[in-house]
Amino acid sequence: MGPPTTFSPLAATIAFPCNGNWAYLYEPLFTFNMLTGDIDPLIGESFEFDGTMSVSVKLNPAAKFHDGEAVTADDVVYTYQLPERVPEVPWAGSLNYISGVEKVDDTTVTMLLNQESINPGMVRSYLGSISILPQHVWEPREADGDVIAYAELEPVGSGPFKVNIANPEQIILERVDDWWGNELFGAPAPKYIVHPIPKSNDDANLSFQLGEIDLSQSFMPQIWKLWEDQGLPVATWFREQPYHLPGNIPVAIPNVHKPGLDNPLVRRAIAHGINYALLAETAVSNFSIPVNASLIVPGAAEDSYFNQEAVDATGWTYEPEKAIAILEDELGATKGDDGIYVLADGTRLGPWKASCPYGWTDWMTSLEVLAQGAKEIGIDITTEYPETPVFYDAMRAGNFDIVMNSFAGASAAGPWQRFRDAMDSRGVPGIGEGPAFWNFNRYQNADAEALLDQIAVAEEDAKLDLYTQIDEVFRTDVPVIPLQYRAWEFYNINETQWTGFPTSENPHTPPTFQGSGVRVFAKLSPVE
Amino acid sequence: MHVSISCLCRGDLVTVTRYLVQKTGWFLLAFSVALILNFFLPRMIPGNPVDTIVSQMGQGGADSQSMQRVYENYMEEFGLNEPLHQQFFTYVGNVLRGDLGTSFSLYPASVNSLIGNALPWTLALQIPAILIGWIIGNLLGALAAYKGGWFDRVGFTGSLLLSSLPYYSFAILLLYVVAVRWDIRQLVADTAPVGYQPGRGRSSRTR
Repeated sequence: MGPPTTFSPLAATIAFPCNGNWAYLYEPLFTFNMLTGDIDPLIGESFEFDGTMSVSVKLNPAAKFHDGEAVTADDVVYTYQLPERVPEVPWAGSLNYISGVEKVDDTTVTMLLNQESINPGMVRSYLGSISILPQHVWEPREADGDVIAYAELEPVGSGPFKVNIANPEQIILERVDDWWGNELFGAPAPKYIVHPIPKSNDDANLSFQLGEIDLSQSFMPQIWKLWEDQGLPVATWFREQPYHLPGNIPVAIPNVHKPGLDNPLVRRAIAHGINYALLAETAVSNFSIPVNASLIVPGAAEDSYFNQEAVDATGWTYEPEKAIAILEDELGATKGDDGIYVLADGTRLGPWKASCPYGWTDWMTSLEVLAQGAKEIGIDITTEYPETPVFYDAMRAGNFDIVMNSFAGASAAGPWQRFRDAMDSRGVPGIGEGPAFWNFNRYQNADAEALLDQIAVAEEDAKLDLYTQIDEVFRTDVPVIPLQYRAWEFYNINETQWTGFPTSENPHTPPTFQGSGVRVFAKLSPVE
Repeated sequence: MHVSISCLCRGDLVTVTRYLVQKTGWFLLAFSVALILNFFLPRMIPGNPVDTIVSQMGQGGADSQSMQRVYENYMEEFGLNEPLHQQFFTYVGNVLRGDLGTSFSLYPASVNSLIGNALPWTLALQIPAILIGWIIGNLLGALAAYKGGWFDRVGFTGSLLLSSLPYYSFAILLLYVVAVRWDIRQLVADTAPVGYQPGRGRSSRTR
């Protein structure tokens, strides 16, 4: 990371804390709550959907920007319409779901749902992530020209903190003492928040152990040793495995257009060959339970859609003998002299390369476990770790055997986005026709796409059944192979200086830096 | 006393001119080669900078459809969808005007301003280091030559040892002595109450 070059929420690379999900400086209408899977009020007091036509949002009349101007319906309309004029802004995708925004009065707006892709869940997700910009600050800049490249160093937001100091070593936020939300949400206790920009993870982890950092999002292997062996006042959400609240599922994506890998049974055999418990232990320090054969994350925001019975009935687990049974009995494959199976039509299972960016050690270890498991069941998979841009280029082009990736994490749209990212071919250019930004292996299944459209508009009580159905399609076709659960954000607490952070035993705030997690600052008190 | 007066004769002038022309020619050649390499080498690597920007967006939590839209717009804005030779002429034109363009990795900062920000620190470190090195080195050398004996031997071996230490391991040793043993960090007042470290580089959000 370099020095912060802009705090503009319009830029693609935004410095802490100004991207959409951090409600510290800029604030969205609502904030995503990782514990409930829903969005909590902020600038928006409430929202109400009118069927699938529109959503009406009531704004809090008390909300104001740091310069004293009120946050009004005009600011909301300005912000939501900006991507129509400046298509590079990071919330440009909202246009796919919100086709228009209208001011009703100063504290009410109506947003029209895009009738070409009706999806109230995605709309909720955007309500909980698009930062509201002050129109009076940004409109003149837009008139001056290249607003996307505007290097904003004195950001005006409406949140409880503003930038005090920003340099290549650290960003210091200062509390806004007359923040409009003090009475409603509680005033933050700390006067300053210091965000050091460490040179490395080791550097950051050392500072955390020394009690110089109170809250850290770093990957800290075997963090439990800090309280078990060293007796430090350190904690994570859970006191045992998986320690962190899961929020996503990194997956292996086989190229479903390569001979051999195009067979769902071969993909299922590979899935049976992976030692998920070993993977959780060695790759991610037990910050994951052994993953299930499902694209839904159990135990957190998506728990109500997770169907354990269905997973147990038709899913896979680490069972190498079942993999071999599939290969020999169902596929009629025979083992060559080199120990690798050959399908009845002569297709040898491999050599295939499984890849992820070089240096992403947790993923590299995951792929090593996958490759080792495949070898043991007679499928020839080796690993390869290119540089990050090279990796992304190949993955987006569809030019790979197996790649590792994460799709959308937990959001107010539920697991819908993850299923869409893994299984929807609409809007994805074919292999050789341009880069894909989801469905990298260009998997195609009409049933899955129909189910996605149904889930998008379904009532809440119909969703468990529909998600079970699409998860069933996933288990039949195995378009991707889940490898582990991943925390939405690692949440490492050191209570040497401040106390009152949430844990699973005292879940007063979601354990996230972003979204509703910002409310934690009102709950803290200094250690005497 | 004999005083020699040197005069700049015609022959000398020709030599100096030839020397200057030759040097300038070599300089221009090296400059062009550097320019060409600087332009083409990064472009020969698979992938492009917009990939990286868009990936950072994804790690910041942007959804895949936003990434798709932004990708297309940035490709156009940076001219990366134009033919390579056209991109090259644009680049050369900008460099000759002293405009090094916009940084891809620290978008939207201009490269000129990034160099401008870093240069004073580089100079503030380098100039004193060069001066101190020159003065101490020459003093020690002169002293060693004058005194000879054990002083010469210790000085010679010592400087040989120091100069052959790789700078990165020497830096770690210095870091240990200065930051850990002497702990000069205590001199830095720590007034801020909440230290907060939301990860670096890749956020966990999309992983």
